[in-house]
Amino acid sequence: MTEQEDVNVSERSLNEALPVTPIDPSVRMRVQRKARGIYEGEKTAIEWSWQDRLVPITLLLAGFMYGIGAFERLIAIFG
Amino acid sequence: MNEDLDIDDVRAREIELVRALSQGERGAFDKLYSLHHERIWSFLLRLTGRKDEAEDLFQETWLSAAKAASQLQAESRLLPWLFTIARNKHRSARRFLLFDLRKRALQALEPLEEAEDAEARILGAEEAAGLQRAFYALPDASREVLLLSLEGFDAPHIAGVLGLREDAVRKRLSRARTELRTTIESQASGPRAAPARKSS
Repeated sequence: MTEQEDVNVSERSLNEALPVTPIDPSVRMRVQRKARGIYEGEKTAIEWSWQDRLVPITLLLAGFMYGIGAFERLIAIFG
Repeated sequence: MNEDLDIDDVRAREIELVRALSQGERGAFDKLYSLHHERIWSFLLRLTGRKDEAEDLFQETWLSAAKAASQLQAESRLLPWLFTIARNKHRSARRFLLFDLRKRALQALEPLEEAEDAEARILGAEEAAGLQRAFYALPDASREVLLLSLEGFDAPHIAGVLGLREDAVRKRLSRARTELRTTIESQASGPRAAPARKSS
């Protein structure tokens, strides 16, 4: 057997010895969908609705008012 | 003659697909995926020897390909391009694995998938399992080059995927075959040990 034949035989054996199970169809489809989305420029950033924005804005505003002592003044006026 | 025409036809279709991908045409990516996803999957599964790891890398490979498709050049070859991305993802994952003690511990505990398909039975389960153990005991660099050769790539294409010179590829391939043979021989002569997976 020549060296090249020897190489061919061992590569064929290796090819047979390494199992290839087909990809899980759900993984195949999920990856395709995600990759297609990126390719077609689908927006991946989180889109915020006005309700989603309301909570952090309220918290920020409340924090700011507390910081400047607005609550204490309001309590002094109306309390 | 007909074969030449077929090769020209395949190349012409590839050039057309590269053009469509670089221009972001709808449907082009699905075409690329349906053409090549099986080969990328088999490469990654064989390279890692683990289904869960191969699935992660498979996803990362295609997401990167989707991001980079618009940068394809007219002369780009799609399959080597995809193999390059897949190989780089594997390399990068291996590097991070060094810092991921939990994953490393899991890899050491979990057995490699055994060859159970019909081909392996024909070859002889014992022989196939020995060959498989020897293959996964090789360093990453040797496994990569052997797999690319199994995939039918010639030295210039392997050189492109691995970012090496052609003569370096030939040397690495020859060394990998020798290492594989030596490992099989040492397994045959010595007691059966659990495969120690190396990373280059």
